[in-house]
Amino acid sequence: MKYILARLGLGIVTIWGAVTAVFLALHAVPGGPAAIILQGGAGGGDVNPAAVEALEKELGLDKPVLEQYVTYLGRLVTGDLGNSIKYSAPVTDIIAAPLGNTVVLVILAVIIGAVVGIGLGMIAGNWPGSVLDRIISGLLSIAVSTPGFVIAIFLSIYLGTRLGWFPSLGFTPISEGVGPFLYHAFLPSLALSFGFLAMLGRVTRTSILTVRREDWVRTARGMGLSPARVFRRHVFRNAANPVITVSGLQIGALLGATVLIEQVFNWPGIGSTLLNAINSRDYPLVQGIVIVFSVVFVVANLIVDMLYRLLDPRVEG
Amino acid sequence: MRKPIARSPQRARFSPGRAKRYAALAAAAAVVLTTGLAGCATDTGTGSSGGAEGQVLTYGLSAEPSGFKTGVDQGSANKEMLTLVRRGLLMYDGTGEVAPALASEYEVSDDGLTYTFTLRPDLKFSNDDPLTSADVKRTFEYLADENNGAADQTSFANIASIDTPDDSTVVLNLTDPQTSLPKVLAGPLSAIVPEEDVDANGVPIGSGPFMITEYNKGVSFTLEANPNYYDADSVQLDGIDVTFMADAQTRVKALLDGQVQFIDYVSASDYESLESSDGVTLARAPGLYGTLQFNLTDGPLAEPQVRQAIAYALDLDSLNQVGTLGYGTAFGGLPVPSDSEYFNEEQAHHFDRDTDKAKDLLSEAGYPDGGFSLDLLTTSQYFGFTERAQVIQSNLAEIGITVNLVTGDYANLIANGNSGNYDMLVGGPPAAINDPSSLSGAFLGGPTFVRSYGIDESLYADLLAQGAKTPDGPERVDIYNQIGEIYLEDVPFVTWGQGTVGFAYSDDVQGFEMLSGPIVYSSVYSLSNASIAG
Repeated sequence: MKYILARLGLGIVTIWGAVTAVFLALHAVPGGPAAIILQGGAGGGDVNPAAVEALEKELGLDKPVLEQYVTYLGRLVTGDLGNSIKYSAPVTDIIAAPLGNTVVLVILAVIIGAVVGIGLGMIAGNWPGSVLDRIISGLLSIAVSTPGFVIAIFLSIYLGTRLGWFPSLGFTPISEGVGPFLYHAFLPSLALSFGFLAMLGRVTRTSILTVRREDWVRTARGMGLSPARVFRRHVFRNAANPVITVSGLQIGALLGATVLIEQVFNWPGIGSTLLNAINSRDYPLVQGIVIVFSVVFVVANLIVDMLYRLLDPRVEG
Repeated sequence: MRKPIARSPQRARFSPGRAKRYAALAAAAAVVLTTGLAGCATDTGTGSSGGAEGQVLTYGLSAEPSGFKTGVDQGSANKEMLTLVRRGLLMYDGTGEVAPALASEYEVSDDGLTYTFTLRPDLKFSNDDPLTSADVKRTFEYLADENNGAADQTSFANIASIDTPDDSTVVLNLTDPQTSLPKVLAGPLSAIVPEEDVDANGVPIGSGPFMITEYNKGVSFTLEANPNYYDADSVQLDGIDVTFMADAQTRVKALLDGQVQFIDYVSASDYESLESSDGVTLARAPGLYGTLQFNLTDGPLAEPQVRQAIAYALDLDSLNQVGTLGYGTAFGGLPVPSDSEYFNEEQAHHFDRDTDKAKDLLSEAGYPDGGFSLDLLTTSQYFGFTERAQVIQSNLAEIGITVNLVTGDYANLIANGNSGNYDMLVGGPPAAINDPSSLSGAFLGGPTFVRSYGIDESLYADLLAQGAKTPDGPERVDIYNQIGEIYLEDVPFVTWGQGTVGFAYSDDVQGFEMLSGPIVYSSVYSLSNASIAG
């Protein structure tokens, strides 16, 4: 319990650090929301500087950065993420829907990645050096080194446009049915899963290979246990730890990878929202999303640690 | 791996860990299965048709508008939406001519100082509020107030007073004649707005052919035909489903895959593939002007000869080639469209490339062989900016000027451009109408990123004011020629021509008409008469 509390405390410090870093970075980057709102995007035109100043004052952006920071933190501890500048609505309202859409992608990607990645890793690890192992290892190497958005474009063009099996881009709200929603979510999730899948596959393979060489596995075999039982009882369970660790750490990477993949599929998730928020210098919205990302990261790490202890009581707290 | 497990002679004891693992696998299988099955069962592309019974156009819009501040030029996506949901006294027809809109007719007094507009009877906003002369008066007074940031505030500032003798008559009394006034009033930013111009959901209310009935933040607008539109019978579309698609390639793909029927802001790099694709039409036209802006306040760029030298050193054809892939129009001189009667061919070729002359001018200015370096501010966010910056860099290297590229997103360009934190900037002057009076935006109005920093406004102000009130004709042409001559000496920025703007749509879409020049985004006005075949 003490361990968990300490870890939670550390997590909060991490989140505070991320918020502060992003706050300072955003305010250090040239360009403010008032100018963007008034001058717009491409093709935007002339505007009176007096109007920009007036809007900055209205938004409270004329105050010193430190004052804005303290005000922001003050609200944050009460659970208030503030109002989005672009949408003039609470950040929590703005990010709810896109966050949900992204979580679906991440969950689907984790499932696809876990099933396929661990499966392939187990096959390769159990028959090391075989043709199958070589093919799988080669494919995993390609998958791990190809950027997610490249895979996304490839899938969108081939499975989407050419073969027409899935929509090449777009989105249907879940309110119009779970089926159509998941149908649109499949390709982006698949694209997102590749890096995760490859990482899991490689770790699983290596881990199984290592465990298979352990003395106690040889002993178990020597005792006449069936290969399947040896695998289940002795190899798989012991090989699972690094797999779980990597999975947890990869959750953060998955969230990050959504930013570009969502662009390719025009998927209205939190990644697209973040990109738009940065382009429009919507400070509260960017910070809100960063907080969500940090929380996910911290919680994922915490869960990994707990699982680790659960699976292997020798891990010290 | 199932087989060996099933054959195992000894049954494994129940363990919670294993049960969880199996449960997770089962869940995974279920989801994957559901996804696959759903895929087989339903084939609904995003917004495809949106309803079998009606004519609903699906529209991939290049950006989610950053709000709808009345009169403020917030970019192309914003203007496109405004042409759909709002109306002004006048509008543009499919040829770019000023046409009646809320006002069925208007009269100009002989001295050009009084405009009398007659509103159509029983006008209403989409929220059922009546639209009367009082709304026109209030809107124009708002647009004239410089604190409100209207893009064309100076055009409205010339209105001395507004009389509203009755609900359907508006009389504008001008301080000076204003040749361009009808064109200003026809622009989407001059639309008449109700007292509460934006509703609780942050969508604009107007009296245009369509109204926004749903705003799904970050995703889409749903538009329905506005029954209160004065010409509702001529509107054939029942609605428009607008999906925000920030990525240029995504829009093209969505059009080609049939997920949307109409897209805006087509990048020149996609023209060729769209032109050769069956079933889609590409409409393109010259758009806004591009210029290399200067910070004239100090250093070598404060010397007119240095600026002239740079003008002689730039290769406009290469700039056009890389910035628009050759689809734009390359010309120098004043930023006036090449098809305008105010375009001066001779001035446009004054600075035809001549690096020897450029070097001589640098020597005259005290910089033999150049020998100085300049920061060139650009952006990587939109196509054509960095590409042009690289050409400028190599052009100026030939006359001994070292150019350092400073790049970032568009917000960065705006911020540094507004504060004069640059030596040179890839940009362009603002222009809302196809009229030479819009040149004032290039020279007057204080520092912003759309104008060279530290420009000597006094060189141009009087002539620009004179041009604005002179009726079209030879006398007016002469005034703008004079301005052009001053420009060629002063060179506060170097013009490289007009960019290109493209819309693309499915062949089923009929009635869209492309305009050109600064009013190119007003092309979307024509969707009020568009229809979908088949």
